Amino acid sequence: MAGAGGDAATSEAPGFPAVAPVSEVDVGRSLAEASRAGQTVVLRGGGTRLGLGAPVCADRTLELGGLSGVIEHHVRDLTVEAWAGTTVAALNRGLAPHRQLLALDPPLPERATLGGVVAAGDPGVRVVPGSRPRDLLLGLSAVLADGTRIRSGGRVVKNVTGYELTKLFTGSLGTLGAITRVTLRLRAAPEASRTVVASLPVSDLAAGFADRVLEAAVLAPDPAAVAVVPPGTGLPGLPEEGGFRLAVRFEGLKEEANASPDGLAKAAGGPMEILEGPAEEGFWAAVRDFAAVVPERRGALGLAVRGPTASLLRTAWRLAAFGPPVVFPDQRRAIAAVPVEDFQAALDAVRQEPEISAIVETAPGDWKRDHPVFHPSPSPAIAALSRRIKAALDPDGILAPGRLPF
Amino acid sequence: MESLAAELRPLLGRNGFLLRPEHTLPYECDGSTAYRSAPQAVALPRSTADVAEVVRACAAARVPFTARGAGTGLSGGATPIEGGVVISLAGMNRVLGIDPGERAARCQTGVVNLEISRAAAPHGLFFAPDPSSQSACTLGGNIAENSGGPHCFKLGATTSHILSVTVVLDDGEVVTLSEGDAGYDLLGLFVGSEGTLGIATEATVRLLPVPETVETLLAPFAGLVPACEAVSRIVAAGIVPVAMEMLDAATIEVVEAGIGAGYPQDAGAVLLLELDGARQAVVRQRADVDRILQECGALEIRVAHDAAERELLWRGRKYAFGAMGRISTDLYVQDGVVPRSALPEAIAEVERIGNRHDLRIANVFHAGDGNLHPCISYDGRNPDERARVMAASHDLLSLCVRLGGVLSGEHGVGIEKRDSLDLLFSGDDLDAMRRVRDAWNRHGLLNPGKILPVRAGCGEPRATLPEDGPENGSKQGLPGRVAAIPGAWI
Repeated sequence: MAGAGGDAATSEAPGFPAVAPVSEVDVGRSLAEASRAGQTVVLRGGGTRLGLGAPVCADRTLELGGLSGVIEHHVRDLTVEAWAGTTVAALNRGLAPHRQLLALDPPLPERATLGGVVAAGDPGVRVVPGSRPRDLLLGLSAVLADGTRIRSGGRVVKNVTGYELTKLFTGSLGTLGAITRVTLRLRAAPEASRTVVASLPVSDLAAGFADRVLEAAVLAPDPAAVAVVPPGTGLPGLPEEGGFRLAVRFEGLKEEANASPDGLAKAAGGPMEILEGPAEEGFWAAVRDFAAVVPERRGALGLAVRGPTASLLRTAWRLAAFGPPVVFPDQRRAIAAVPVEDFQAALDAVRQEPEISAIVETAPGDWKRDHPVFHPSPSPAIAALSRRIKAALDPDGILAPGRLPF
Repeated sequence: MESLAAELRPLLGRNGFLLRPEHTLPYECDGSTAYRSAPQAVALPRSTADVAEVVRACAAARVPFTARGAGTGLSGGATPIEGGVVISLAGMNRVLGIDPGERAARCQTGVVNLEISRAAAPHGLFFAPDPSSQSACTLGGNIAENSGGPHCFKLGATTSHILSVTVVLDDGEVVTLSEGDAGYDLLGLFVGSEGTLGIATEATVRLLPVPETVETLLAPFAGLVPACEAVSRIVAAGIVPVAMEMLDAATIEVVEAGIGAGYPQDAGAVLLLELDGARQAVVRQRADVDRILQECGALEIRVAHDAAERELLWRGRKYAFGAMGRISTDLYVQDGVVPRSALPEAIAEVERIGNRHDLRIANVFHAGDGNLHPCISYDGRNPDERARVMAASHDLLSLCVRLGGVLSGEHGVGIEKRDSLDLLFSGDDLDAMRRVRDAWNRHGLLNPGKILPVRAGCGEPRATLPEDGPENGSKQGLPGRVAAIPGAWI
């Protein structure tokens, strides 16, 4: 299946030659050639998260989207091995007749490739642990900068054999090697799904925002996803009016999907809405796409913040003064669309909570060239260690040099 | 070593840096006793700063150092195979704080696994990783080995439950690795690195809410094949039991003779299965599971009605290895993994391997994730028998790889399997791993001789079978006198 759809691809960086290999051997040849020529290379999957990290000016773009298709679906083991250029949506369409799914929810799944999602390390919208690339990636093949192909992990769900280079590649933003194949853990498609949406009254937000959401999140039995969603995002599927909403998704057997939201109702205190079917799908698709769509559409910064839930919620509430934030309380993560002119004020808000860190995920135009992306920067010891790891796998530093903050 | 002592004793106290052979000998091995090598010294730090000082001193003196928790590991991870200093974290055993709102606990890594759940229990929370040794093993050991346990089928192994770790690097520098840090997933790489990348001294761990309902079932089958079929069908139906454990006839026999857990002795296999979650969901799961078990030929379905009955059903599983230990001088337990659908073929082949080498192999395994634990009872004093065990061991590892599996599911590579890694990985794969390891472990002093095959001519000794003569009886038995460990932690 390698090479299916290897048509001429376009580069995000006009003027730089893009190369679209049609096989793993081509990837190796391309990288080895770049390596010999001392040329720097940006790796590109679906291009949905290419803006992550610091900007890179590379001599070549290596398009990996053409390397697509399923290599082997182990139906009874609920695992699949696929070429890394396969899109998440295409894989899930292929799995649907088997009543199985890949529980990854990256933004824009019609374009997002498996390798790209792994390299971006995007945690998606589901609760952790269980549905992040680091939880679902059982094994991978990658081509290193010198053209060497390596394998890490395996295709079984439990494995402590050797160093987990799979984890290292997760979130590596194309700086360690070109991911060519991935083996992923699947799950049975849920029999039913239901989302409970509670309005968080505005009067409560200032005072008890953190407590209220935390309490609700703790009380919900086995949720599949939890998010605090703002009004006015402009995304179809999300409410435009009213206050913030706390959405909790339940899925699995019918009885699991219908898990009693009593505790949730009590904690939220406001009216409850039940979403099912297309309305529910639309709602979560919007939540999923928020990070890749809303900041860009507004010409704003996509500011991701992380940290302990209570400080995270306080931070999100402060960021809401600048632009709409979506919060994933159990992931200890939020993403806000912050206007460029409010960046310093937003950063000050972030710094009010010492345990919160922030990353500018996306930014318009050349903004990132003049502004640091990671707040705070990694400690000198971590930066030095990360540089040694990068040098271990890419000694000449040809893969996306400067993408990560060390 | 005397100069290290002079340097470190003012910090650690006289009893915090042990040199006398009678004090260092207990640190010569972990639960896998086949490989023994006494350290020249044992350091007993009380804080992260202490550990950092010890590491700095060792690094400056170019002395190898190896961290140790409770020493319950089963692959030689804590065995100082090249001597040097063992840094015992056993004294750093406090739960520093529970944050119920965050569902997190901050602990020193010498804390015993079960103590975390005990401290979290008043808040309705628990720490999920549950290796059989959980009443003795430490959090630091769990982090080093990425330990699993019966319940990791649903809840994930240790790596899914660590939010952040304080690590002393190879030069004594202290760093914090956290989930979601910008840059590489250093935490993900660190967990499971068997103490070769740094020494974890404190960690923040994820806690989970104690489920509303737990239901434990025991289903005997005529044989392993229909029992494995039931496991596959349960998973395919979208039911995620929190645990699915299997015992074969040979194990049942030993368990019943040893402790009398009440497992049916005429069964060819017993499947122990646990469901948890919201009450209504468990009722429904139970109905589906019962139907599948019956369709697959379960001879009966026993249900635990309360905690005492649940404990009884689990008893046979938990003490299976201890019971095996009683019937022979030595017990060898392997840890390979195969894809779940290959379990019937794997088990049939395990039996053939046993016959071929004239050994009796009993099987206890985590059926949900295909993690085999073939157990070979043998007499380590008999060189011929030992050689046959080694040959069978190689065949078992090759079998797992041939069926699409891996060498270790939860015990780690350590010394025991490092020279078998090339069954699974190419030279290029291993080279990449080695380079990444060396980025952390710059002078090869951190727990040397573990995980990766040792290159000939690089000064590191190859793992070979210890030859025992009549004069060194204590070194007998490869691999492993698991029976010597209380409770046998698997």
